Amino acid sequence: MSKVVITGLGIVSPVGCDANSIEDCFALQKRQFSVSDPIPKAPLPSEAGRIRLGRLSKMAVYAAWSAIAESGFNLEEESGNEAGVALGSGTGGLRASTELVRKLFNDGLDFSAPALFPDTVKNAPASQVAITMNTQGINLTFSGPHSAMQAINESVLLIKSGKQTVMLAGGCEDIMPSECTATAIVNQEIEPNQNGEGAYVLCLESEKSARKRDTQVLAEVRTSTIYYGVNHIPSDIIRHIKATLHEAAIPADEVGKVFCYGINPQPELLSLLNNGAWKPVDEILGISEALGAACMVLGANAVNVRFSKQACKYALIIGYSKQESLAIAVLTQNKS
Amino acid sequence: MTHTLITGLGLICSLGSSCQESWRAIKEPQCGISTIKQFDTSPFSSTLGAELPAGLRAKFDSNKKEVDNLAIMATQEAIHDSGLNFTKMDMRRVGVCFAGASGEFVEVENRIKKENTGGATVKKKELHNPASSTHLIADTFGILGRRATVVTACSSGLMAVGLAIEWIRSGVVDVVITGGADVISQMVYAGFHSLHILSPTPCAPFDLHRAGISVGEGAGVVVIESAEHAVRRGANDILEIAGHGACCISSHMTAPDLSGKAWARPMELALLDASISPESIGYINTHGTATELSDRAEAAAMKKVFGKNLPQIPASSIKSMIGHCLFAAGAIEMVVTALSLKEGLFPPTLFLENPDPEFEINHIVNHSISLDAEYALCNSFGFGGSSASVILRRSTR
Repeated sequence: MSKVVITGLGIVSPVGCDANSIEDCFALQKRQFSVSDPIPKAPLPSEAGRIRLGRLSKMAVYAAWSAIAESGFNLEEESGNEAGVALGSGTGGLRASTELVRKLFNDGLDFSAPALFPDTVKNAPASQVAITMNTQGINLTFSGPHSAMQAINESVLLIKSGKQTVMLAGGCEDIMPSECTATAIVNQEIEPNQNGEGAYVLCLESEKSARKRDTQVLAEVRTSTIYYGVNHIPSDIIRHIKATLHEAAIPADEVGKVFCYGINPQPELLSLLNNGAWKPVDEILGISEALGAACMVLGANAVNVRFSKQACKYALIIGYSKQESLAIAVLTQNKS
Repeated sequence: MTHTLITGLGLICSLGSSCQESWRAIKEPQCGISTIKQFDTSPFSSTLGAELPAGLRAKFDSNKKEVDNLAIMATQEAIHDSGLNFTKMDMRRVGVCFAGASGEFVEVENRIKKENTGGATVKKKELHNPASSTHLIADTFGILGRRATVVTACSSGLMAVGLAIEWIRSGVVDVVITGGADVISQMVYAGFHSLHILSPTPCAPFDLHRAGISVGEGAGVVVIESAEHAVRRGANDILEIAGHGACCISSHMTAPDLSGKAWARPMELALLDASISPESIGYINTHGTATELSDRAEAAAMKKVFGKNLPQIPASSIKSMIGHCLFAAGAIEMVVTALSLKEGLFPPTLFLENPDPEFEINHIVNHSISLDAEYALCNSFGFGGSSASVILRRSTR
């Protein structure tokens, strides 16, 4: 079964469009949860560039374009079939849906807003990536806890099974404008001012294809999984980390960095990975379902010798979310 | 490669609250499209929809979303049909891959209505959570394996099935509960109205005078299993999922590719996956929405795939009976395709009085027909371009 590697990264984050900007925030203790407008525009071919994109789709398209550009994968007609898209989103489509419902009830029913309705579907960002960039493979959108990690996990599976060669995988999230109640609709347990947004996309590729193209490999996805029925207590989380590392034959003391969300790095966790520097990404970027992909982007850079002189051998990504679920992934240097 | 089998089916639609009830009405055939009762349709270009059977909503648990109620009911039926005994299984080897639903907005709409009349106590079910059905199914039945909530608009149900097949094949689970549930919300009804594609009369797929869709609601749930697991436990009445294909060749969020290339591709991929030739297909359950452009694009796609053989392959769209069940449509129609293959009886397209002469389709019209089909193809397409096809194979045991 083919290994899956990361050959490109794309970021639209509240603190900038590159991983360095996010890393700097950890050192500076800086937090920013909303992406400044205007959203960066991907330099798409003229025809695709004319397509009207909603705010969330703009973020997703820019991140996907950055990832594919870094990977150097050519999305011409003949290779478009080999590339698919999988994005996770919690609030995708909600801005348009809320606007539509408000028009419906407040402005009268007999309205005409044909452009608004298609933006209500949660898969609009992933579809717009396909439409503007000519990816013709499978196109999936996931929702729910860890949706970005789900998108990445399913992409890994599709590449390993040979169904796709390349997957643009990650997550995108959009903070609702304050005038609508959507933030409360999304999740009352989260204070509105804790919600984050952004788009984070990895270009995942079969190692065989990357080698054949002789392109740079930023990292290898060694393992990636989501466990359910996990209690939010250190002992249960530790048990699952140990099991994952054991299954992937990774010594815990070789994990150099840990990017996490939904987890407070308590002493028990810190002592398990005693060399691992824990970085709670949600504290920097706010809470969103795209965070798993943000952690993966940071993890890919952490193991990449071209990016960091102190590149570590393994980076652990770990997130806890609603529904008692725990996402764990391990990225490593790929030297083969 | 591990073979994937269907061992349990669950179905709810406007024509019935179970597989047996629904299938009896579909094969008769009956039409479940009538005047919408849930909300005022007077401002819209249609008053019609295929709503759930009378009395079913009264059985819903009021603490749960409507779509979640449907999802649980259909899942209960599918699990019962499969004969699986979860108390004797490693539940980490059981997964849930379910479609998100447009109809979860029913509760959000109710909340906004309450806000408009001043003050609202928000209930848990009124929170936006497209993955609620997936997790409720898992929690209700003690499922601890892989989960996903797939949202690809109207192809969500069949896309979820396709992904579930890959889980079985890759060995990450032995059993998956997959499918979708959806209900009609005012938002979606208004959205289709704004696109001018709501039919004022019951929809007539592939008819020369087709005037758009009739919205429907329901749930279709399938238990799929690896062949090894199903055979080991002695499951009976088995259908095989011979192949599936999915892609997204798109240039517009709502307008389909009229050349047929985009929607031919998932059918070609499914045939390739099943390792069979187009001539092997004995029946096509079409997406058949009855909009001017969608039917034209699907007919062109089928022509590309089946060529001169297309007029020999019986085909129908059951949306003329149960409406377009939105994000659950593909799953519901796959369940009906499975029932058709099992019984060797294939349902018709209703209201097809003047078949569009441009389409070389061998329509099953007005009455169900008996066929000795081994393979049946089921299509589903969605906004944004995500398209899926699945090929089912009759039991050869």
